[in-house]
Amino acid sequence: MEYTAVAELIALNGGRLVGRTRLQKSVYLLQACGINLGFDFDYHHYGPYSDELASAARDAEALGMVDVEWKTAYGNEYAIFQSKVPVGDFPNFDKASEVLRILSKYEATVLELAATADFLSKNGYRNDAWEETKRRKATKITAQRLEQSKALLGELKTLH
Amino acid sequence: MVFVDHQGGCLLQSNADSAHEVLSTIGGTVAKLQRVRDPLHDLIIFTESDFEGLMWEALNSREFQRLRRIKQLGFSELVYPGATHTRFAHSAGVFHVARQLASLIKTRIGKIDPDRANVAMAAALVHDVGHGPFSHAFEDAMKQLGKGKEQKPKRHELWTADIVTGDTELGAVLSKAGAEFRDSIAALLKNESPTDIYSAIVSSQFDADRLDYVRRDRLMTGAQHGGFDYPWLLANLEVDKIPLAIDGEHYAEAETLILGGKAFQAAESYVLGLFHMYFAVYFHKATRSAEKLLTALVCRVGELLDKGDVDKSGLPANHPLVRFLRNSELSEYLALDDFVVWSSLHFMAEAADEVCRDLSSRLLHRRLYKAIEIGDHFAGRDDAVARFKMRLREAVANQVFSATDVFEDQTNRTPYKLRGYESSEAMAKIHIRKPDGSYEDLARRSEVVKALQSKSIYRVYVRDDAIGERVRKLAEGL
Repeated sequence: MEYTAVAELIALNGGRLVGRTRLQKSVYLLQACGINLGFDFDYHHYGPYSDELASAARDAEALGMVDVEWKTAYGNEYAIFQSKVPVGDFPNFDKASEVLRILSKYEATVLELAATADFLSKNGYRNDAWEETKRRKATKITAQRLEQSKALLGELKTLH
Repeated sequence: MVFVDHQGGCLLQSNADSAHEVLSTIGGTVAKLQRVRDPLHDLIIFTESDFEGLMWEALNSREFQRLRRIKQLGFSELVYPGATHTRFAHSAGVFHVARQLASLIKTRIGKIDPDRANVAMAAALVHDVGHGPFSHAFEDAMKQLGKGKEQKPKRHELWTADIVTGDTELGAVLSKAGAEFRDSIAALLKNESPTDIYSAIVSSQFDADRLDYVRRDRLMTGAQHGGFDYPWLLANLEVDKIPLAIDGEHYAEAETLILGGKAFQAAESYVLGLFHMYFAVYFHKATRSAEKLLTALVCRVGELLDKGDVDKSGLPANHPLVRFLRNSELSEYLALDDFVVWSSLHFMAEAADEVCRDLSSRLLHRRLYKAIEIGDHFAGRDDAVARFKMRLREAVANQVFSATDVFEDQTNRTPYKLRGYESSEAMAKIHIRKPDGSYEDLARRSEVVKALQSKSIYRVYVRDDAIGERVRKLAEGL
């Protein structure tokens, strides 16, 4: 079931994952690397987003497979997910671990920018995905984050 | 690109030379004052100024006029017969409110960037032109048809941007003020995070869209929930800078609209009013049942088209709905509206395909699926709801139920997004001024807002009583 996939993914990420943005974009990028967890992504206000994943995360919490703790920073609350289940039979275990290791080096905003550019490149912006990402995320896309987002996608590509 | 306000109002005035340029590009005629009688705002006036003349022209473009054929609340009229107001009326109202907000920003910060203000007001006017028929139900159908495919359907915001920048009548009108003008409108509508105070006019807790629809929907449905002190709220709007963060990581700061301390009670009513409107109107079970039927019906036509059996849907091959499902281009999208969908139901009610026949006939005659409130049944036991979902999905996968026997409906409304998804939820908060001049989150200051809990809905719509009984049995023992 979907909620098991969420709980096991968090387990694979060292048992802990910070933030719903990171959760959404991590699953998107894992699937973009060919590790299919069965979630369908559409474009939401903030880039690729899966309703099913958001719902599965709530179900995993309701079923006691994941604990969610809320913290506050800069006036905003954010979630810290802790898995209470073992990793189990996670698909493509080694590659998934490596993807998560790479993602852990980058901040959530960079994950969002990279996931957005990847999604846009497959949805009508093959040649100008980064330009369109800049248009949609003008406040987030500093020169440094743009460089990091490209570096992140470059690293993931070497795993293909 | 600069416009002059001929009314002598200094709001939009910057320099006369540029205004002459614009005037010559729109044909050398001074626009005539135009008035729209609106049930919410009374007179909405488009002055003789170049800018407002252009906005009037935009309102008369064919893409904007299409909004007369798209209802603001879709199927809500099946519950609230008065709720037949259109996105056209709403959009004109949003322009009116945007103009009030621009004027207010000027008063608060003591100056205005007329170009940015004009872009924001124009964006407010056209923000809904990309809506399809029965907006969210139709979008859900597109989403379901796109499942598993790499190419995903466009949301209405992106259709709006395409209409503004594309080869359309509206695009041509807006480009009279320069290509940069319409590109800036599209960029503002697409931008997901605030760039400056003008973006608050189109995207914030007090944006023009929300300040119009909450009151308009209340008026037109006749619902008595959702009232709040609009003039007082507006009179107490101020400008300040707030931090933006994702997952606890700070990434920028942005100017937005916050509230003065004297509007504390008005802010509480605003939060409560919107929350009540969601459950009384937007999430009404009969409205959502009709939406589920339409989503399933459009999906069915899409499936028949994929199989080469579209004739079984009862629709002719050149019907606008079939043409759009075959080729999702802008020109085909613009041929769709609520009227096209309603009239297609008569064709589909006589379809060879049983699913099309049944669903369209039900919509035509308001024979809706009945809702079983599973969430209410388990009264806050989220674990039981999650287990029920698992059982139901297994039953559907094992064909205990057919694809159209049951429809799941799950949604959630947080009265106040203390824990919203992602960064821009910082913009979804209400910040209220403290006596020392700083501000704080309303949820930290108001015991009422603090006490409000997120409310989830989980319903199953069932085709008939026998199926309803089987669904209820699934809930046993949980």
